[in-house]
Amino acid sequence: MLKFIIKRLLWIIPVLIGVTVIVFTILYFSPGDPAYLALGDNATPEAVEAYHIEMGIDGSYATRLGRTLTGLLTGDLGLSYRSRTPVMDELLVRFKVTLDISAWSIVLGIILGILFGIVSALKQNTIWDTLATGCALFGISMPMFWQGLMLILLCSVYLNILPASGYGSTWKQMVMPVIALGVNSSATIMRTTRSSMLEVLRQDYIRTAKAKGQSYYLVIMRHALKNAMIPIVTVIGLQFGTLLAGSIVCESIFSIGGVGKYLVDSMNSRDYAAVQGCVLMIAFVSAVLNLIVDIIYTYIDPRMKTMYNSVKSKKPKKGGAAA
Amino acid sequence: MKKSVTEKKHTMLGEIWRRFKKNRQAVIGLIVLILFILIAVFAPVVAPYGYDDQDASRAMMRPCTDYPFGTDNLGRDVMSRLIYGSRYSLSIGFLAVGISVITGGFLGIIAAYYPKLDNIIMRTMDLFMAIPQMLLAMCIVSALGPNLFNLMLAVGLSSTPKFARVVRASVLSTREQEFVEAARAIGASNTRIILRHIIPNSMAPLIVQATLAMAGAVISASALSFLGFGVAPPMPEWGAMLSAGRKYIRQAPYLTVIPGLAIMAIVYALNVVGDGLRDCLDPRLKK
Repeated sequence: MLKFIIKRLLWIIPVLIGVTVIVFTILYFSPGDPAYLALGDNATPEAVEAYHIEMGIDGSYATRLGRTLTGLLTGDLGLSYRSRTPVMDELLVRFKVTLDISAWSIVLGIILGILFGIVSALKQNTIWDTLATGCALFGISMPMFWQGLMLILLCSVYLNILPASGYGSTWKQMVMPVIALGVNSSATIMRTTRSSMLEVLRQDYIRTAKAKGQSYYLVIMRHALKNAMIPIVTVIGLQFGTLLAGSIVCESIFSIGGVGKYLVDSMNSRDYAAVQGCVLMIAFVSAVLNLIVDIIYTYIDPRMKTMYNSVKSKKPKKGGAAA
Repeated sequence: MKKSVTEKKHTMLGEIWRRFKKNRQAVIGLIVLILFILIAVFAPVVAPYGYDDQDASRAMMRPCTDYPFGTDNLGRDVMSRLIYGSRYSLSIGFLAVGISVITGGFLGIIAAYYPKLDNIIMRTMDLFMAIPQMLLAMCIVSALGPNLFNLMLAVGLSSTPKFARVVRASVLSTREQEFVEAARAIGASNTRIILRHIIPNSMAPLIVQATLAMAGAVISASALSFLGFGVAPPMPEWGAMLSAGRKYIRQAPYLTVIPGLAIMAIVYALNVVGDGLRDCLDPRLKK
């Protein structure tokens, strides 16, 4: 198991390198020279060149890419074109904010999603099921930024109970961003929970558990939910990644100084070093989350553990386990 | 034509339609979608005013009988702008997904059919998948410059990996079927087998995925426009309208409420149609 974790951790390195190459290449072709943005349109060629060297953006595509990659391996994401300070420092401060909001949001999403998913699966084809699935469908159809604005309209403009923007001074500022992000992911989690539970509830072992007189609660929690968990955990992992991306919009709406707002601001001022840093940061966190999801699998379904353990053995039985 | 014969035979499309129309929600979604398409096509006829008809004397009017959805800060009729805006949302939805179906489909088929390329293509797709879709779209748009076409391209390309995966999985299971073996036995070329046998028989999951992806594309395109990376004003794109109306959320909340409702309606319709199609195309759920 430990071997598997280490192997997967090491696998993140080539992924990050690949992502760097992709993002670097895309941004390399972006129009505009950051030197003119920083120094003004009338900058002399010498000043521009000096700025290029200072920022490490002189030379050909290959040299710059090489410089970026070696920087990455030492944890250096380059200098921000705007502030001329290391991108990494800025990101670390802001990342705490984003992580704080995303973590609360996913907790809200998990609680709401799994709860309503179970209820709706147990009461399939009743009014409660229709209501819950209908709400979930609305939830995934609502653009998150609009939902955020509607919350502001309701809670700050009309009811005046929550502050419309900011982060960090009171817990009240967290409420709306967390609801906006969390409700959106709870809809997806709910739909997965429902379909996965429906599948499991049809199984013979559920009938057996009921037949032997097991209490209703235990049948649901221990026999049904536990077996329905694999797709749910997968979706939760994916949703966390979506949440991180969604925080870009969310943070702009609620003026929260997290990675998302930094990214949008950097993009607007063509600060591509910072943009690249943000994308890498988010990709890195998503990769780590995927790993965590894979580890959680083995706790839910011990059969997977043997699969991971046999990864190293000469002939891994890919057949059934891989599917 | 021999109408009675086709009716008895239950053609494949007829069978799908028969199952689809049992799902009332999906049918409603389809009707809403068709309505939106009609509105978009006949926008100049339906809209009471032009999308950029400014008139300071009627600025910021609340919804009333003359202006059912009110007017914005420049005195433009919100309803007319919404009607013209449906053209953007729909065309972005269809074309962006079209782009990802073509690129993703091509890569997926190649990967499934030529095992040598499989690893290279799918690992590259994995790398792209490591970047959240919205971020990838933002990067592409900023590299190409923000305008309508680039927005479509960015949204489309950013979901290419997802389609490549779906198509690959579907083709992998189709290529093991006997009819493919039969086609190969009578000497059909690879291109012919792919075009005539594999593609038509792996369509179902692709169609479902495409409908649902359209909903996602409409949302991400409007989110990008909202952030200022998409369609620029004065074009009446719904996300851009929302973003412009946001400044007046206290005085004129309808400027943010209404475009959002429009986005939601179209995305909802696409989602229920997609769900309905999945239920009637997915062989596992066949009754």
